[in-house]
Amino acid sequence: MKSLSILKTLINIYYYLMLIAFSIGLITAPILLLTQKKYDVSFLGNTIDLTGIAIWKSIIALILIGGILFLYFKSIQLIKNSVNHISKGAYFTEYLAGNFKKIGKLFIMIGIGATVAKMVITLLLESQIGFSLDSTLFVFIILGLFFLFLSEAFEKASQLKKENELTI
Amino acid sequence: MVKIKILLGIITLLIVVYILHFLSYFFLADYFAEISKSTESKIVFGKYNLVIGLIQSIVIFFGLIISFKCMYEIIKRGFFTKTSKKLMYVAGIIFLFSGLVALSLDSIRLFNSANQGTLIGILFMDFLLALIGFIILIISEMSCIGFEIKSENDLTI
Repeated sequence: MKSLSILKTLINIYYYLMLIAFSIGLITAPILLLTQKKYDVSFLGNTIDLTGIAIWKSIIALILIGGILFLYFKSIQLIKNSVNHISKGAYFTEYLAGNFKKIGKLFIMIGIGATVAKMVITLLLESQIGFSLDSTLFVFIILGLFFLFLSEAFEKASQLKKENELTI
Repeated sequence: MVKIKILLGIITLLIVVYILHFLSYFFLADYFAEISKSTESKIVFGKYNLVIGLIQSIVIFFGLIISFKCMYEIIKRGFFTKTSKKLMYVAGIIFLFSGLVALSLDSIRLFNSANQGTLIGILFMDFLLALIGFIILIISEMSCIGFEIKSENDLTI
């Protein structure tokens, strides 16, 4: 599959770009936090302005954002590993089904976690309780359920494959 | 199968939301035109943003319709069938295409905008959409192999 090698390259590019962005964020956030200069944090398509708020509030917001981004990073890493596994020609294996299950759970956690994190951050920054349903929640829950379903389908296929191999 | 049924429910909900979104364009056309006019000088692509947004919504709407059909087919006949493979392939193409278009448009916006922090985050999401489209394409190819395994298994006494 030629498209598989393209996908592998694209996922590798995406993964390493994320790694660079994540590392830059980890280095710059504490510096900006201490210097109290203007800084915005980009969080799954949203921007959160943390300029001029109390340090403890910024720390809580950054921990929440960092936690969600870490889960996102972890799920992309699992996708990368799965694609590498597929590229070796191993299609229906328990490893792949297990990976899809983990990715699905992580995506659902990101969807729900990001919505809760936005609520907490709004509470911290604007002192008001607000709940908003946006595309992040839907996109990640859809992707999560899709991967969970795929894990079931791949588990079934791996069983069928084993049965086939055992048949004389 | 419970997960795919929940997924079908969410996709149905999104299709309804998109229909309401299109109806709002139809009934509140003047209001949207006014907003577009007042912001066109401040944002990249100016007055074309409204049309670009509408076209992107239509493409995603078609992707959702195909996904709905695909999931309905999977619930009815199982995952490893030729029809679900074809539908998954089309859905993959649509999501890949819309992800790539969004990625290109947002890249242009990134180079012409002051709010680059937000746009970088959006670019990562666009890239993810394109990647998911690509993954669906690969999985549709893999389901073909699954279909062969299942057919062999069904033939075995």
